[in-house]
This record gives sequence, structure tokens and C-alpha cells, in this order.
Amino acid sequence: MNNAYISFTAEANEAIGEFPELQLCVREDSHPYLVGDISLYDENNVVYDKYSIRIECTTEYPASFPYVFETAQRLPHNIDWHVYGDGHFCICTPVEEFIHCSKRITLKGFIKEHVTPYLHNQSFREKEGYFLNERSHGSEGILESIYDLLNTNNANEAYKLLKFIYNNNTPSRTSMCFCNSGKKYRYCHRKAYQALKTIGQERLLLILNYIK
Amino acid sequence: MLKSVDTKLLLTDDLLENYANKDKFLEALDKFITDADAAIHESNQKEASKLWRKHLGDRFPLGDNKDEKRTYGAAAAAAGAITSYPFAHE
Repeated sequence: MNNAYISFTAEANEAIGEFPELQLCVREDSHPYLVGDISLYDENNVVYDKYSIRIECTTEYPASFPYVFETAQRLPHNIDWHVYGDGHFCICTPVEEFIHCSKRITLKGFIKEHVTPYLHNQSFREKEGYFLNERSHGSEGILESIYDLLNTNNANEAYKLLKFIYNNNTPSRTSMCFCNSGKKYRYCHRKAYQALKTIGQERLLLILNYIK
Repeated sequence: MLKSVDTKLLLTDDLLENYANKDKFLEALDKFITDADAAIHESNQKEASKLWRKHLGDRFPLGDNKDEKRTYGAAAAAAGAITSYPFAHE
């Protein structure tokens, strides 16, 4: 069993403690997975919807998200529904996934902070005909997530900011921001710098080359 | 197998190759998609129907000037989905 499978299996009990309708399946011939239901609660803690899912460990876990599938044929396998042809969910952009994984996700945290909101959004889509929020498909969606992080909507500006983050150590908290806004760094791009720097130089370079 | 071959043909064929008003058609289609998206998101029935009528004409009924409230389930889903921004590679 590799390290990914060991982490996934070790974290499963904690996840099941929070989501008791899930159960862990471990077989010699395949990767471990959680299977069962996720109940969706309203603001008064009353269940208003429920999805049957399977969460599969990948060999990259926890450096990448596990794969999540809906198992009751309720969601079409269609990218317009943010579900790939093989049925796994596309929860966020790769850039956002890098950032979340750099904070060392756990299975419980992953289900709570990513899978559950995604399922709420799918439930909303089924009821209202559109997603509450969503990214565009492909490169446009990736750029949207970078723009949100860096608080800009200009590709050249985003590239410059990313290049600074890639090439430089953490600025002093009292220095002026590297974006030349005239604001102090700590009131401007500190969160973005920290979030992106923690994903590592290799992944940062991937993003830089992507938007070049 | 046949299905995948057909799909490939569709993806590579330029269906508007010999269409004289190609640019105008695509521009109108783009506007229709934008307005349809806005209409779906519009909670006021009259405002939404005006958007549909721009493209579909008077055959599309004019809605009442009242806001549609979200159902209980939709409101609960909206509250839970606030941090979700799903994506997909093309």
C-alpha cells in the first residue's frame, strides 16, 4: 500500500465520524474508497437533500484531491454540469486545487469544505436551472480563478504579479505592495502571495507558463 | 464506433462554410445566449420574459411583474453552495 492509500485509510475514520452515512472499502486489488450518502442540511440543520457518492483515493493524495463520483445516476456526465465523462466531479480549477492541497487537506476537511458545497450547488442547479456560482470551462475558468486570487482582471498584470511571487521571497509586512497600488503589502496582496507561494515553485512555474 | 466517427466529422466540419451571413448569425446567436442566461437568472417574471421576447418575439408570453421567490430547497441549497465554484476542462 503506498503513502497515499495509507493517508486516505488513516483519515477515513475521522471523515466517517463527521459523515456517518459513508463507509470505507479497502480491497487488495484496488485503491481505497469511501462510499455512501452525503446529506445536505439547511440552516436549521434539517436534511433537505441527499446524494449517493463514492470518493476514491488517487495515487497523488493528499497532493491532489480524491476523485468523487455520484453513484445514483442523478447527475449527467456532462462538463456543463461540472461532471467529466468518467463521472468524476470537477470541484474547482487546478490552481485552486493546488492551493487547497498545499494546506494539507484531510478527508473530513475535503468533504466538508469542497464536496458538500459542490453538492449544494448541484442541488441548486437541479432546482433553479443554473449554478449559483461556477467557473467558465477551460482556460477562461482557470484565468478567472487567478484573477480572483490576485484581484485583477488583466492577464498581463496577473502574469507580472505571479512572476514577482515566483522570483521573490516574502516581502516585509511593512513594505509597499509589489503590485504598485500604493498600499502596504499587508493590506494588499499578502494573502495572495502566501496562498500562491505555498503551492511550491514547481506548480507556480506551471501556472506562470500557462498564462504567459 | 460509428457514433465516434460521426462526432469527429461534426467537430471538424464548418457548418456555416457557405453561409453568406455567418458573422451576423454568430453575433445574433451570441446575443441570444447572453440574454437567455440573464433571463434564467432574472427573478422578476416580466423582466425575464422581455429578454426572451427580444429573440423569440411576441409569441413568448409576457410575464407578471412579480418576483419569484426561491423554493425552500433552492434557498437551502444557495446557502450551502456559497463557496462552490465548479469548473471543467474542455
